Amino acid sequence: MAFAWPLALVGLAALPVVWWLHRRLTRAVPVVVPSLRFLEAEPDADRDARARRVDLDLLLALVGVAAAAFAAAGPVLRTQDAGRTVRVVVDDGPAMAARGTDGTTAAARAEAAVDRLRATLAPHDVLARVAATGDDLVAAARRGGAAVRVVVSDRLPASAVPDVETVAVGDPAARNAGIVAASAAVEGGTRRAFVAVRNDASVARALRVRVAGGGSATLDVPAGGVASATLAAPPGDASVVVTLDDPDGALAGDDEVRLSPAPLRVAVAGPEAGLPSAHADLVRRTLDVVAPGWEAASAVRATLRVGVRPVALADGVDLVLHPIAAGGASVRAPASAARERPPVAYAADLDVASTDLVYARDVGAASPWPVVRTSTGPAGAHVVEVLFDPLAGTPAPADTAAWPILLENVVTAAAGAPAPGGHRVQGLLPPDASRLGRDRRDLDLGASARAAPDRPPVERPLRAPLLALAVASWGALWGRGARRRVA
Amino acid sequence: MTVRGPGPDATLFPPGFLRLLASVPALVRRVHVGAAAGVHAARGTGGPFLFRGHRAYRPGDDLRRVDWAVLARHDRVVVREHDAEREVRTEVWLDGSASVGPEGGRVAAARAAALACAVGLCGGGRVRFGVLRDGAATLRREGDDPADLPGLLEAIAAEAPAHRAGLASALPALCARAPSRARLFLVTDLLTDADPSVLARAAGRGLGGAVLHLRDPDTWSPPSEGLVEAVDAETGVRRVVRWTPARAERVARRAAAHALPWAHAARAAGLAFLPFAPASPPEDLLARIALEVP
Repeated sequence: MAFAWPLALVGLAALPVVWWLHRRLTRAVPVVVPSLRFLEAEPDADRDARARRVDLDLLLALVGVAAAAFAAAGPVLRTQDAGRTVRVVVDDGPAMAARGTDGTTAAARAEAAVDRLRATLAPHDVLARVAATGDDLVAAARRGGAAVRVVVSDRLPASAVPDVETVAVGDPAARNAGIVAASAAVEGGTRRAFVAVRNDASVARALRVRVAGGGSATLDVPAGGVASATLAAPPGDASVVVTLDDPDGALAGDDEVRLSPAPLRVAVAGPEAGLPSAHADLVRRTLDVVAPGWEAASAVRATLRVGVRPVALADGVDLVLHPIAAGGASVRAPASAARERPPVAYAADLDVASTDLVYARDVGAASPWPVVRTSTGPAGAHVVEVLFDPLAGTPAPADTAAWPILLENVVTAAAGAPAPGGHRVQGLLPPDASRLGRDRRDLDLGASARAAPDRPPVERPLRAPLLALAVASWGALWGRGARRRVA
Repeated sequence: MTVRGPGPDATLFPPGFLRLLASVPALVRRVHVGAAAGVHAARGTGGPFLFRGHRAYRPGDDLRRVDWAVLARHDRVVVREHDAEREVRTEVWLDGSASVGPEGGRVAAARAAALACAVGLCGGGRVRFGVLRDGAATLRREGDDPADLPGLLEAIAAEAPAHRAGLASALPALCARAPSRARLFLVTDLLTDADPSVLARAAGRGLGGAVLHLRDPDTWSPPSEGLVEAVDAETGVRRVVRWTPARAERVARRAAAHALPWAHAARAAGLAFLPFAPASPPEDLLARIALEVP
């Protein structure tokens, strides 16, 4: 509690004066009486006189004076002290899965750094953890209000950012090699696969790549360089699986890609399944833009199902887009809320496959209504359910770029990105992902303590209620005065 | 009857009260005329045997004065009075104890005694004024003419309440000293341990008059609820009590119970029992004396 005019508390000195006056006014008044004989039969009279009893008059007077003195001092109750918001952006890009020489991944080291930072915070400080990747790290750190901004990644920014604390958790000794480009094409009746390999190590390496059921080659890749090869691929419409032999590489996710020649197969439910026709038309028009050549398929054969219940797929990924009307009834409640990661706000660049819950921009972050939910479906399929009503603006209005981008992300997560030669490629990491971050910079634990609070204290003035209390006390005291006389 | 000047103590006897005293003879005469309709007034020729009227029989009255004719006709026991009987000696005795003083008691008692003296003088009788204090009955002043009233008032005003009355020993002596057929006014608060039966000793002697009981039915009452340090006027003993309405009611009941046997004893002795409060107007007391005291 703070006071605007603390000197007014001198008024509390009136409390002992009130008490003294009350003692003087209520002490036994000497009265000469004709005789005490009629009081002799009052054995409890003396005991009553000595008995200490709660004097409501004195209590009311003291409360009134104290309340008035406090009200004059302008008290302000601080319900929340000033605090600092520490915004921590953790790189969740694919390179963060790289395992170092000590066996820990960069993601685990980043979490440890966040934990150390959290331990240094004061009780009123808040740690806001944000996930971002790539070039968006610094931008994400600068968003919103915060006293301290921290980026945790496996590498340092290309240029110095004085307003952002940077923490690097890379492993200088790690090495990796990965497929950075892949495509397949049919030329003269023969299907061939093109593959490019990057050697992210300090020494030149001989790396072997092979196509399942097809050819293979050993590439001499210089340190930090890229080598490519064109390999024979099996004929037919089967997927082409290209594998890089890099058993001791830090990142396993960039060692295999899958090239699928089949067009995107989509099952779109009809009105009988609860999907409004307008929704189905909008989905088809959007697919024409983001996935040219897509084919309508049955629910069993489809890679992407709109308004159709999930079924088991060998790929393990089962994308289902439920319309609001039908999805409301078919959405399964999460088996355990603890399994779900915190929801993230829907943004234009949405990665559906790595997101558990997405809230529409217009719905608000506090809304319990998820538009994207991931769960485990039949036969262990990774089910991504998207509750959407684009005509109503969920997750985004149909006439904005956000909606097709969302659907494109969904398609990419389900069937892969389009690659030259008419195939769709899955498992190909972004070009920069296979280049590991090897920087190391420890966390400046004192940064948050040195920063000025960005959240002012929350204060509530108490003058009005104290004045009301004083008036009520004195009013009650005034009212009791008329009833004190003996009838 | 004429009372000149402001008197010895203007506080005790203000001009308004003196005017009341001056009206006492006329009031008494008017009351008695009304009470004894069809009978001649006291004034005039006819000597001491002029029949004045009837009054109710009181224990101790001479049976020879009972009007048997009235008893036979109306079944009422009355005695006949004659003018000569009015000219009886009037004894006015004031309780001089300290307990009379507090809370306006002294003023009220002095005025009651003055009224009694005035009533005694208005019939042409003789008035003796005395004080009961420390167990003794001390005569202070006598008078047999209305002109003696100022002197009596001075004697009354000179008595400041002090010490104890000692009624247990003073009253028997007083009753023994009072002449037969005398009119006795006893102004007292009766705050005594004396046995009320001491008054009964006056029975059978034809005494008239009244006990003017100060304070009854009122009791002393502190100004407000709360702690009070009560100081006994006679003994000086102090006692701190918490005064409450319930306690005030209990004290009032005890005071009334204390006065009751005194009232019975007074009537047994042929005396009227007239309680009055310090705050009550003296006109009320005078009217009651005129109506109830023969």
